[in-house]
Amino acid sequence: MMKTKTKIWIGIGAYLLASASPMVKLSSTDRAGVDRSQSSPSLSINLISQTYAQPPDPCRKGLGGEGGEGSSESPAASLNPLIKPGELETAVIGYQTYVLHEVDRLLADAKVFTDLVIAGDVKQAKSVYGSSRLGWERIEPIAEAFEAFDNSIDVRVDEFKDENDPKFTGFHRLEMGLFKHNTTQGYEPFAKKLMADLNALKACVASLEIAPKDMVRGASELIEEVAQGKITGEEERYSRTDFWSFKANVEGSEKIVELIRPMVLRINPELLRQIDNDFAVVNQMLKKYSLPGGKFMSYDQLTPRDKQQLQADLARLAENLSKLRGVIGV
Amino acid sequence: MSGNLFGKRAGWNRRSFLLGASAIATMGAIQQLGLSCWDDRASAATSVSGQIPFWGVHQAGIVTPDVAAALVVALDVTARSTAELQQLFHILTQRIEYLMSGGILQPLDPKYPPSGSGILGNEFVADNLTVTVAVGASLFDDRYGLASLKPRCLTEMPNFAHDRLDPSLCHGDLLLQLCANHNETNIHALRDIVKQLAGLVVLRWQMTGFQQPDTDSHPHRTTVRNLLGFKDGTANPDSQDERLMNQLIWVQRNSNEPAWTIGGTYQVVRIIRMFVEFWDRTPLEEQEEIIGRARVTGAPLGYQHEEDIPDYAKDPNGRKIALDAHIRLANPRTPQTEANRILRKGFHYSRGIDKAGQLDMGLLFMAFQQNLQRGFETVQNRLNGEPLEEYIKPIGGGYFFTLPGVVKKDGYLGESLLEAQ
Repeated sequence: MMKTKTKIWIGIGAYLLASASPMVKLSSTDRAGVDRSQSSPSLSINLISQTYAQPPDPCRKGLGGEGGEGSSESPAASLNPLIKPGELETAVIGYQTYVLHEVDRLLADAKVFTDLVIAGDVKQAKSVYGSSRLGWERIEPIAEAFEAFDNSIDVRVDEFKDENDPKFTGFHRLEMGLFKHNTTQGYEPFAKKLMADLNALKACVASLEIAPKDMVRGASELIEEVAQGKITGEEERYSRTDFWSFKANVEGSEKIVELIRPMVLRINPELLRQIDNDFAVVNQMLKKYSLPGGKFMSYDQLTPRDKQQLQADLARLAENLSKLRGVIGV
Repeated sequence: MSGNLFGKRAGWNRRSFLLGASAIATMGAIQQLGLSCWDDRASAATSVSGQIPFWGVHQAGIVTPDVAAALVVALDVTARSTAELQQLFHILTQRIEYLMSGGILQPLDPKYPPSGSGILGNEFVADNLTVTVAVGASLFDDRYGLASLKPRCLTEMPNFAHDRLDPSLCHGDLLLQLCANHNETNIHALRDIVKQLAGLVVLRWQMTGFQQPDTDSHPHRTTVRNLLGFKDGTANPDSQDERLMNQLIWVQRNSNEPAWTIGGTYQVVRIIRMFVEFWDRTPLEEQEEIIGRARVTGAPLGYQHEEDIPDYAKDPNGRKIALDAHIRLANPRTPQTEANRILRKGFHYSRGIDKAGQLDMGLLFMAFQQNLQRGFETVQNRLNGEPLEEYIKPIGGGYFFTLPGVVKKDGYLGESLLEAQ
């Protein structure tokens, strides 16, 4: 997950503004009272839980995520003239189909995983954990745009004072139980909540209209995510399944490039060649750490030299992907 | 080196000072009078525009007068082939030349990321920026077939007796030394370079340094003090003395070094933590004895003036200046030790609080010399065991070789090395 902490605080800030500003007059006489009530710790916690436990609109998007800034604008004005009418729209429809497909897959994989947790099968649950989140990682920029779900499905322990905080939920809560404490005991409610959140996420995604700009931006965002968060190994700190989510992020980005490929090829074939090459280089490194049956080695196996090489390859890929919005004109 | 932790600041000698401080406004007039007896770099270094020439037999940033802000960045090279390594040096050369000149950011379609970070605005001035590029011993491993071309003294920096080197602050394939009037200028340059070199390098470590440049025109006096409160930089070799620099700093044609190194120099970086709380609880008398100079005046103990040269022959038992005082060990002032002199640059660093709750600050020290063993290593070995060690701790840095400068307009940094194969 990307920039979660910032998002939470932006989210709280927005919530405070939205909920407080119409009724609170910040005159000098009553400001002190307002400040006291709003800055008290207990109230902040309530607000945090409200923003994702009982969100006013479960499909509300965060300020920092996809679609946050005028995604409904018409892209036609600045579109590269070499793009044929309807071409970009077709790509977006293709992407929407992909996203829905991945959400279905996510629900199916997560169901297998959470059922095993509920059944108390630690060993089997561990073995499917890595693959249970691939759908999420492939469509991460879309999925995490719904901040309520990002905060409940993919939040990390760092966001909380301690690991027992009941608001620490989602995949990583279960990951901690399984891989750190080697247990499923007491995790049934978290497993059920995860499935409920994923189902609610599906409903939001189904009604989502993806703007062309957001699709193209998603290709870069997925790689920025890897370059900033995944490479450090902080995401899957208990299970060391980082290569799985790493690979899924890359696949999600490749999918977007595939959908806009004919346009990029026409407008800037050299850039496309470089991007293809960059993806190949990253995949080659991932392949080095892959195991039969679509599995991966534990992330601690990554050598310092290979990690540096990956860092460099991801930086180059991110630079090249950052030009795609300019190429398409969105 | 006759002095303190580091010697007289590179370049702020009488000649460049006079030009800089008293004649900036009248430089045009001086040139018209035909008095331009100074070389291009020395005069440009203090020019109004703050632009230091990139082109030259030696890289800028070594004998260039010191400025207020430094940023030292070690990189590891991830180029996948010798061709990519060459590309790296071409890009680096082009960016450094551009950044040192100042200019205007190239306007792009706003759907693209902008062509620069913009932290200096759309139009940026040179601001006395220099970016100096050096290579570390690890670049000469088996990756690029450069093993046979490694400068003879270039190794990974060893652990000296008192060092406690932090691996996350040491060594590197490449070293960039950025110096400018302002931190923002260094950061602007670094961000540009990192963006342009994406895929070819990764960052390894960095350290930010600062100082108030010397304003004393006397070549053997300084206004600079280190974080121990002592004048520091009293007797660096005169960096504007070309003959002396050829003798002590620049690799010469007749050396035993690979031919490509001519015009380059060995660069040592040392990150030296100072235990300032402990130091501040030490009696002045003891502080002065450890350093060998009076704190207020900077004069060697028993002498009147900062610029006085201590006569150790007359003080064989260390009655005035202790035998193990820092300045005495660093530069014994004998004919035999003259050749050990090195050109030093020093910046302060301050980076928060350590695990013990003490101030984490010290000296970002750099030394340039023609021969690493004759220079820094000899001096450091003389200093091993000095009483000052109780108050300082080297924690990082590395050995590097600063590439020769670029003379031809179509040339590039590292050309002599890469074309030597």
